[in-house]
Amino acid sequence: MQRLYYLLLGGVVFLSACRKEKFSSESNWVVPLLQTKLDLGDILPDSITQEDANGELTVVFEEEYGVSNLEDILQIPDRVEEIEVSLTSLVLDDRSFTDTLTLLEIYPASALLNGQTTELGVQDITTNEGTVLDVTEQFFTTATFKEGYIDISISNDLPVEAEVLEFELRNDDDKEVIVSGVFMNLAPGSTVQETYDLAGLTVDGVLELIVKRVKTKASNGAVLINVTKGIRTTITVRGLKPQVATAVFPAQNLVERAEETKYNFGGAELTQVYVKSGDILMKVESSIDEAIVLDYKIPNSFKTGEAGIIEQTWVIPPAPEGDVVYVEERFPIDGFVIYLWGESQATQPNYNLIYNELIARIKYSGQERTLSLEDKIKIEFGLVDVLASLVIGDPGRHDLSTTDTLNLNALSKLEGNLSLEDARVDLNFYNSFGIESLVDVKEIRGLNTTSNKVVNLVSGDLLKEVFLGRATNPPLTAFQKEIVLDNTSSNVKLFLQNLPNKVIPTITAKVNPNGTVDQGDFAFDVSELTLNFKLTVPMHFGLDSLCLRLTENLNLDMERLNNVTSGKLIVMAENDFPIEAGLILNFVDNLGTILFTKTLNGDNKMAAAEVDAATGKTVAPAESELTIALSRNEMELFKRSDSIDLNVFFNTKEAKRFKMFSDYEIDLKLGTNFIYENKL
Amino acid sequence: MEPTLFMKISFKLFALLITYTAYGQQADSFAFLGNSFDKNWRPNSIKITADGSVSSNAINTTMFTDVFIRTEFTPAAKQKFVDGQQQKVNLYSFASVDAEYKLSNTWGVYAKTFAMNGYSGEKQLTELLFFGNAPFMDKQVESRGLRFLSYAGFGVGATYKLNNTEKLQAKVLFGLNALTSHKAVSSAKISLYTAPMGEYIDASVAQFAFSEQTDGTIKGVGVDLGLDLSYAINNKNSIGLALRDLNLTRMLDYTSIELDTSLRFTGIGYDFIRDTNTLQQYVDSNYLPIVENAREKLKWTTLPSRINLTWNHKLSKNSTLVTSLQSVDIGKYGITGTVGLGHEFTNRFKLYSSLGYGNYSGILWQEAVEYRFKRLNVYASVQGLHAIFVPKIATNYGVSLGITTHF
Repeated sequence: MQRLYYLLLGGVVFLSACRKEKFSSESNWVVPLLQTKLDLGDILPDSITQEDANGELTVVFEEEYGVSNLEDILQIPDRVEEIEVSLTSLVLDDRSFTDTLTLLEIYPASALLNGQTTELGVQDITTNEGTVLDVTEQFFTTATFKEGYIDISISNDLPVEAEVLEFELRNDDDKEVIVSGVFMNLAPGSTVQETYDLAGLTVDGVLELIVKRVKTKASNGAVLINVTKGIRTTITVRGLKPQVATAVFPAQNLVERAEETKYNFGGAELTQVYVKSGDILMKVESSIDEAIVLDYKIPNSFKTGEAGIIEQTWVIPPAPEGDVVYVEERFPIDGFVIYLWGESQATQPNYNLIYNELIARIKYSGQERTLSLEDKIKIEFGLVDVLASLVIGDPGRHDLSTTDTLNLNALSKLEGNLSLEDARVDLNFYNSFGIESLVDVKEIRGLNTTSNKVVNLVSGDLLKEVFLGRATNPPLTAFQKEIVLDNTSSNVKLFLQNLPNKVIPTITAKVNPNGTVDQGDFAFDVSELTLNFKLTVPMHFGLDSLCLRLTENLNLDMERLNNVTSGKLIVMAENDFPIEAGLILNFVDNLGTILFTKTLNGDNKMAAAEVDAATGKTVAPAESELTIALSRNEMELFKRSDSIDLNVFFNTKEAKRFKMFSDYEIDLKLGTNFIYENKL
Repeated sequence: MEPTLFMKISFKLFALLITYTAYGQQADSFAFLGNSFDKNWRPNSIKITADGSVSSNAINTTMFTDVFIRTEFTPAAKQKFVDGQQQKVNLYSFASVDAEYKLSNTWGVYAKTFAMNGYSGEKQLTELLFFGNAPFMDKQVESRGLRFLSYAGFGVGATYKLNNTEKLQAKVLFGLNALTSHKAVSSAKISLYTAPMGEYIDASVAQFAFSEQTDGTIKGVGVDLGLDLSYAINNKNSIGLALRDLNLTRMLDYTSIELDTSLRFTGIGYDFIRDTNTLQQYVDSNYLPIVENAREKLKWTTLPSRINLTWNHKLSKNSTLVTSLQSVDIGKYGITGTVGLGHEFTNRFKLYSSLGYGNYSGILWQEAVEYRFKRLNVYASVQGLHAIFVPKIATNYGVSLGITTHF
């Protein structure tokens, strides 16, 4: 039994070690890789081909070459002025206040005599006690004056002569004396007045009026005693210009400015600007504890169809005590016309000047504020981001040059050599400026970047400068001039046979070469000075290794392709072209690296379609089925391919020339016939 | 001198004759070629059976052998299949291991694992699916009744003796199944057109159904029923019915796509049959909304049940003529009829030979033996013996091994 056990155990171990290799069976699959069509649209986009009634094609490539526009000639710079001002004109209103020192207050015992007619004896009263006068509401809470006056007017309403009247007016708070004086021999019913300078003084709204000494003479006989009457003091403040004051301020202009702002337009002298878009910028920095109203206007401006000028009012809120407020606002002036002759057209110079007025003011608010001549307001204002729809004036003289490159896409996908029957280039000069220009086409280079070969377009018509007159307005009518370069007047055929994919003109232009007489030149924002480059090529050509190119993604399922053991590529082509075509397939990985290349050429190429001699057009497409064997290594590379570059190249026999029709195409199907290994 | 084939057969017959002489008078006591395991229903007895077979009406056994022990098809065998004139290709393979243990006089338990693959399709379609579309470019291939089903799983349950008289024996099995894989594709009619360059295959399908399985280990669970009936008509004749795998299975998170439409398959599935987890990857994106709309939750399914009807006619005391008719899924995956002769050489040794024909198997030839030791019965059966001699003509083979004992 034990022997049997070991035998069984050994058998199990032996069988476990003999692991069978996986079974696999092969299946033969034909799977498409891609189906595509190559037609003249791949080298000549529909947008540049024109088709006649017979379907015969003409390539028309048109590209506009900008020499200049309004920005080349004129730019309106931002012009922001900055002013910083103190409150030079801070004022307070004139005010008066009356207070009476009654007989009762001077001579309290007179109360017993009130209403009686009796004699009054001599009175000589000296005191340091005064009457507190609160004139905060009438005057101010406190003010230190740069200028100002106080008038003290004293009327004697006593029935006796005031022989000596000595008074003192002082701040109730710090007892600082503001004014003091002595009036002598003031007859009953008379009034005297004295004026005192307040410059440099600080006056509070709560004052103390002290009548330090009142000496009255005895009455001349019996007099009617009225204890409510006495010495009447009227205090009047006037011409007050405080250095600093805490008060309810009256409405007043703080800043008044009217100036002509000069603009520099780089040599241009403009008289009018039609604003297409733009703003008035107003930036204010204020430490003033009062709302500031800013009024800005450009009097010499208008808006077509609307009343009014450029005018705007901004309100700057009061600054918190010890702080500063910042306000930045813009006011759009789109559609306005601004005269640039300054304040008056009659005054020279009358260009590039914008007359504008700015007022900074405070309104009566009824609120108590503390203002100081130390308070400042900083204002930045002016025109910003202004784009003109039309400028009128003298644009000045400008010399422009350009060597921008035109991408000649019409020929960029062509490789090989092309022989053209007829071709022409139309150069259309276009000037929609109300300014004369002189254009010099110095050179038109045609560059084939593939072959790195340059052929210049040469013509006698390009040797002299081209004068372009002014456009007229209204309506805006451009000045145009056309130069035709064909086989007879230029080397255009040679130029195009180079298959230039880049055209590099070198052009200079003199703007306003003869100056302006009446400042009547103009430029719209739509004005431009351009050269329209129009290439017309009837598609009737012979081909020597002309190449159509196309890149197609493969989107191979790598997981499934891992089981592919071998295979071949099958190309099925239907060729409408009357030219036999070879094929180069570049298999490219996801990094753009060509992994391997397969070429169909020689006997293994796409057959040409037969041409009907009467119409010059092919009758039916030529069908070809071509096979490309893939080696084991190529099969592995194929699995890694991300895309295929298809290069179809034509070669006409004996340089024969053919008409090209819009419906010519190569219908190309590319597939694989591979052996797939199914594993169990 | 090498022994000839005739000499080998004569030796075997002689050996059988010796055995017959020694044990022919003993009563029936065979568990596999008889019914002693259930009839005796002895507690603590166990029966273990392992079966495996593969059959087809068109695919030859060399190709089966290629799959099992070689690394690729033998070219001649493959060519034989391709050259075959059958209209349809049917393929059926089944493997299982069953064990039953008697707990008491009436109860028992069972456990089993099973795996089944079934395919039926017209021959051209089968060739396309198996060997690629290259030969069928620009051709229309049609097939009625395409079916493909593959599943595997295990089950446990109980057995119960309903009746055990001389006249009638009845046994019922009931338990639970769990599926570890399940793939199904079927179509009442399918028409495939392979475009030139194989760029697509246009399929027109009627009652096309496609199940998409989930990633979970258990694909579905269900109830499993079985029934064994044996009825003695008289002393010489008895009939039997064996019903297995009658089931209803709840699929777990399965979806099914059912279509009656035309579809375009692109990026052709090179291994379509084996890799049927999802349909989308094969269908042209323009048709995906159709597929999406046809998707439904697959909640319930039934796996093929097996029915075996037998008629036993005693020719003599020790010889019985057995006529049987077997079907899988009520014929969907095959009907087989066999006639066999069972002979008890002794009460320890029995030989059974049968011949038959099935639409999923072609000609069947089975030889089975059972030998009873003291407490142990061993059983071996080989199906498709003719595959040894004519493997390129034979289209099925299989083996079955069994053992039973009691403790």
